[in-house]
Amino acid sequence: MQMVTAIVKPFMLEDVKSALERLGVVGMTVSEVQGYGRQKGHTEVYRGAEYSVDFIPKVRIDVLTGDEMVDKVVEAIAHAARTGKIGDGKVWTTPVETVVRVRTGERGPDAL
Amino acid sequence: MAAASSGPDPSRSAEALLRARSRLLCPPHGSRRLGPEALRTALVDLHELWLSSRAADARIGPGTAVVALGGLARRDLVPHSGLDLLLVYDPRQSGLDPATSLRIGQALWGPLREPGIGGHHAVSTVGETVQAAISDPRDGMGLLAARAIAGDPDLVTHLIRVARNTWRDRLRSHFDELAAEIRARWAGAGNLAQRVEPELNNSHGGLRDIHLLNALATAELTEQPAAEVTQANALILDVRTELRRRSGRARDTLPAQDAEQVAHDLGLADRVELTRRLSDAGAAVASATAAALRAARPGLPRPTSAAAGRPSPCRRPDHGVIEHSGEITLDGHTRPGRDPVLILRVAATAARTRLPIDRGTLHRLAEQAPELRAPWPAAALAYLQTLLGSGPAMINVVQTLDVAGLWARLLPEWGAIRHLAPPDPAHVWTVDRHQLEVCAHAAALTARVSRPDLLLLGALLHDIGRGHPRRNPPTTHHCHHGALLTGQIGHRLGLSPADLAALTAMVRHHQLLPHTATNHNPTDPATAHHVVDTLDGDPILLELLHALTEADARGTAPRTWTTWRATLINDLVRHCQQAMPTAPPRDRHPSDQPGDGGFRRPGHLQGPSPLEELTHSTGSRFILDEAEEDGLRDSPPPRDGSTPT
Repeated sequence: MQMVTAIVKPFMLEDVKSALERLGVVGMTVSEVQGYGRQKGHTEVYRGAEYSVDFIPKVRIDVLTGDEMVDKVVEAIAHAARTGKIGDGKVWTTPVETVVRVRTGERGPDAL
Repeated sequence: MAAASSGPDPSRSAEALLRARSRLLCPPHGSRRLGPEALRTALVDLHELWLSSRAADARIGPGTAVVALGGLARRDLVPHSGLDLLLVYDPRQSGLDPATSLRIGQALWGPLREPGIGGHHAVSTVGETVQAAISDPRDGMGLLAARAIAGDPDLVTHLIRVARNTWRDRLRSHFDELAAEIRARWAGAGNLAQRVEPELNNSHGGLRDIHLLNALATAELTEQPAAEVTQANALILDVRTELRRRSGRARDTLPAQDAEQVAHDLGLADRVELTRRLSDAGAAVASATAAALRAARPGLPRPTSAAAGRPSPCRRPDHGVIEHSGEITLDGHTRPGRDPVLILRVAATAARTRLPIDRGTLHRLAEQAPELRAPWPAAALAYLQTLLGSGPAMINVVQTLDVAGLWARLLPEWGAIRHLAPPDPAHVWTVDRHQLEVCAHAAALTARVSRPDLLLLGALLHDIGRGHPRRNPPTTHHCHHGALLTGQIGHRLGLSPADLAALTAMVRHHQLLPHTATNHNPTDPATAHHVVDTLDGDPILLELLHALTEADARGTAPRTWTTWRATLINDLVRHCQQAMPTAPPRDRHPSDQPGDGGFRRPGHLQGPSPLEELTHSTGSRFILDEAEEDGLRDSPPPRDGSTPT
């Protein structure tokens, strides 16, 4: 099992969600996060004054999936979240040893 | 003389008690399922029988008694409750010493601890018990409902009489402490009437408030609680009983996910009906509790001094309205039947001075105050603005008016959202309370906008369309229906066409900024142009929606207005401001014209209502007529950046 984590632009969330649903992914966790990558934030100029925006609002998506699906999930997220502009985000995976469904006590892939 | 006895096997006896409890909660297949009230009665009988048999085994005699406190004493024991018990003794009459009495107590309730039947258990003499009640008014209050389970009934009668007199005598010096504890409890658990997930026991309007009402009446400080409080007690207890039976644990907060099932268990249609009934009950209890606390203070024993008997000074904060004994009331010359603005004047004064409205005044207003004719006079609108601009103090005032039936006279549309459960689980308040919360937060933002009067009205009305039955959800979104209702209300309030248009636009588009900021690229020029076009290039409307968006988020739940959300919204607004036409339309907001100062503050104290000056403005758009077709204008721009059509 793998945890797929993605940081994407907030307005791309619906596209990512739709793409994952088409793949048959039935659950995800979404968090509001802030940060910056290579873009190092940006500056805004408004009425002659320059505002520094260090941390950019992003959305973090966590999807728990089986090993056989992980590449498809990563690709679906990356494709759906792409605008081609700086700040589109990142997708990465981490191995997961155990999962328990709290309601039923099921473990492992059955709990996905 | 009482003595400890070996008796039957205590652990087996406790197991038998647990088995019997389980059978009551989960009857075997084919057995009748008890209703909530019958279940409570059965639980009380079961535990009384168990305790009586154990007391008999312990050979408790004269001068000793087993006393029930809490739910067992009140005969309203709900599932998974602990047992609050006291072994009280008179050392002279019983001949018991402390060590022996402790042994008897251990023999009585020791078996209860192993299987996890919680509660508080104590052993003390009558004197020690009364002393504890003196030092802690909560202990004293608990003793007022004490009940003998076994042993010497005369001892318990004596104890209760001494406890009641002592509690009443000592309450004067402890009253502020008790009131502070009650307020802290309310602050922690919230208001039962207006929480989506209400706390049934500790909240304002919950069961502990009813216990307080009963205690004050037992101490002869107030009247016995009214029938509506008794009915509320039964309903809240029924909900608590079914919640605990269903969840299988000692839970007192009704989660939204369980409300539907609990409603079904109680024979109600759905969770919406349950929420409304529970809210009505909570509002009745909260109102009675607030009134009882005010009434109890003057009834307390007073020290004899030169100050005693001196009438408290009266102040006259507004015409016909006086402040007396810490309450807002009417002066002797005021004729409520001849003054249609009086309700709002009293309400605005109460909110401004942060004082409660006297109950008698509410009754007089409810019986005699005439209807406000449409359009409202300017003074009525000005007092409404003062009320709305008072911040959090306004919430209690509006709730008080609503319980008295006065708020619905001013805003009949309120009835559709009163105690209505919101469809969105992010909300912690019912829809009516959410509107008031948003209004209170908007009052703190009035300095940021050119038209604070419109901001406050928009905050009050932004979700008024939620009460509309959702027969055709896609086309009758609550914003659309809210705009229609706002048109009616604004007309009744006497708003000018320009203000009416701006207000309906606020309600109609109050989700435009958060929706656009989270679903569309804020740096894309098409996004900003879409917003600007939707708002008809009106910078003041954008400014109002910006403030309303923040107030709406803050009034939804704690921590909803996050830095994350604020950054997105502020970025979008900044881009929209840059995309705005350089000169605002001059016919829309005459307050921006020279001579008016360009700023409107709520409240009659700042002079005549500026809205009155606007009744002659012309050339404004009237969004009410466009509300249905306007739905197309909220459609988002394409994400590829092309200009929306």
